[in-house]
Amino acid sequence: MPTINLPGTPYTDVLSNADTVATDIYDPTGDNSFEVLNGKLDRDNIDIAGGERIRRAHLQRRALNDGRLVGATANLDFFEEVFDNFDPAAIDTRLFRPIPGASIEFYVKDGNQSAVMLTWHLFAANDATDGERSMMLLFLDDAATTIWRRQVPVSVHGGTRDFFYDRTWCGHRTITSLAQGWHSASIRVASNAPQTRIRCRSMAHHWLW
Amino acid sequence: MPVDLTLQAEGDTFDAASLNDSLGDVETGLNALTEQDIDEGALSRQHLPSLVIEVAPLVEFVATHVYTEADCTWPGFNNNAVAPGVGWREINTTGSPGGGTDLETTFAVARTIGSDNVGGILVLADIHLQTIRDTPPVPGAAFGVYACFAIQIEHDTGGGAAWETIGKTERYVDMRNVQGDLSDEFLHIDVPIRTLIKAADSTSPITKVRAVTAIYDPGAAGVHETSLRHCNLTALVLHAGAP
Repeated sequence: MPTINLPGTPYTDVLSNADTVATDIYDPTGDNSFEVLNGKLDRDNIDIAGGERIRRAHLQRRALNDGRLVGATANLDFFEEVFDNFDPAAIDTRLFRPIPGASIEFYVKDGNQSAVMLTWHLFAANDATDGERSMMLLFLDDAATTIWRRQVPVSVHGGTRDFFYDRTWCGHRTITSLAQGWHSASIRVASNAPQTRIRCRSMAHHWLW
Repeated sequence: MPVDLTLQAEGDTFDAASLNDSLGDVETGLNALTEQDIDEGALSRQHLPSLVIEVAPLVEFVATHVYTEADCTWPGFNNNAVAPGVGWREINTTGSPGGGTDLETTFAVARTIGSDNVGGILVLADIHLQTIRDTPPVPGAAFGVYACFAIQIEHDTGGGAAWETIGKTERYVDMRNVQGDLSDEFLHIDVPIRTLIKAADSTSPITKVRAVTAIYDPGAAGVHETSLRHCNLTALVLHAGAP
C-alpha cells in the first residue's frame, strides 16, 4: 500500500492554505498522509532497495500459516455390529463412523486463505473373508467425499492373520477456498468384516495465508 | 530509516521552507524503514503478501490405470529418460499407452526459484498402488520387482524445456511375497511423496510439475505390470526472500 507522497509539498503558500498542511498530516481517505501510521505501514515502506529485510521475528506468530495435528496410538477395534449391515457393494455413507485420531476440527481465520492442506496417515487391517471388506472415506464438514476412498482388503491368509497384509494408508487434500469459521475433516470407516483394527498416526491440517 | 525530526524552536522562522524540511524528513523516514524500525511480531498477514505465490491447478483422478514393464522400465536413479522403453512414464488416466490426463500441473507463468521472491515449490503427491503382478501369474517367481515413483519438473536450462527427475523424490515399493503367492495380490498401498523443490534442484524457469512411474525388474520371470488407482498432485509456489 503506502509509499507516502505528500500531495501538498513542497509548500510555497503554506501560510495562506492551512488545509493543505492538515491534509498532509492527516487524511484518512488515502495513503498519502501521515495517517498511515495508524496501522497501514507495510512492505512498501521498507527500504528493500537498501538491503533491509523482513525477518521471521517481525512476523506475528501464526500470521502467515498455522496447523495442528492429532493422532491416537491405541488399537481401535471396530466390530461389524456397529455398521448396521454395511454392504461394500452399495455404500451408504451414513453408516461410516469417524475414527478417533483421524478426525480434526480447525478454524479458518480468513476466507481468503491461499490453501488449506490436510494430510493423514493410519494403519488398518481386518479379519475379513471373501466378500467382506472394510472401507474408509474422507469426510469434509460431515459430507462424504469421492476423492479419497480406500478398501481394506482381506488381511488374513489361509485362515490366519498374516502381517504381510497389514497396511498403512495416507493421503492429502488441498483446498483453496474455505469460508471463515470452523471446519472438520475425518477419515471414517465402515465394514462388514467381523473386526477392523485401526491405528491412527495422524490427521493434520495446515493452512497457508 | 528512523524518523529524525528537528523540532522548531521558539523564535525560528515558521514558513514554507521550514515545513518542507520537517514534513519531508518524516515522509522520507516512513518510506524507508529499516529492520530495526519494526518491532518483533509487528507484522501480520495484513501487512505482507501471501506466503503462497501460486497454487497450481490441482490434479486428481480415481479410475484404475495400468503400466507395463516393457513400456516403462526403471532407468536408474536420478535418470531423466522417458518412456516408452527404459524410462519414466507419466502417470496418466490411460496408463502405459499414455495420452490421457497426466498427473501434471502447469504454473500460470514459469517460476524460477531464487527470482521474483520464489523461495521454493512445495509438492505433495499421493499415488494409490493397487497391485504389482506378473502376467501370467507365476507364483514365487517374481522376487525383487519394484514399483517406482518420482516427481519431475519441466524446466528450461538453456536448451529448451525438458523434464528432469528430482532424485530425492524417488520412491520404491517391493512386490510382496505373500506366503509364496506373488500373483495378482492386491497390495493397496498409498505412496506419498512430499518434497520442497529448492534452488539446489533448479534455478531455471520451471513451467510444470508431474508425477511419473516405472518398474524395476532384476530379471524375474514373467512380464510385470503395476495397477494404480487414485492419484492426486498439489504444487504450491512459496514466497521467500525480500518482500
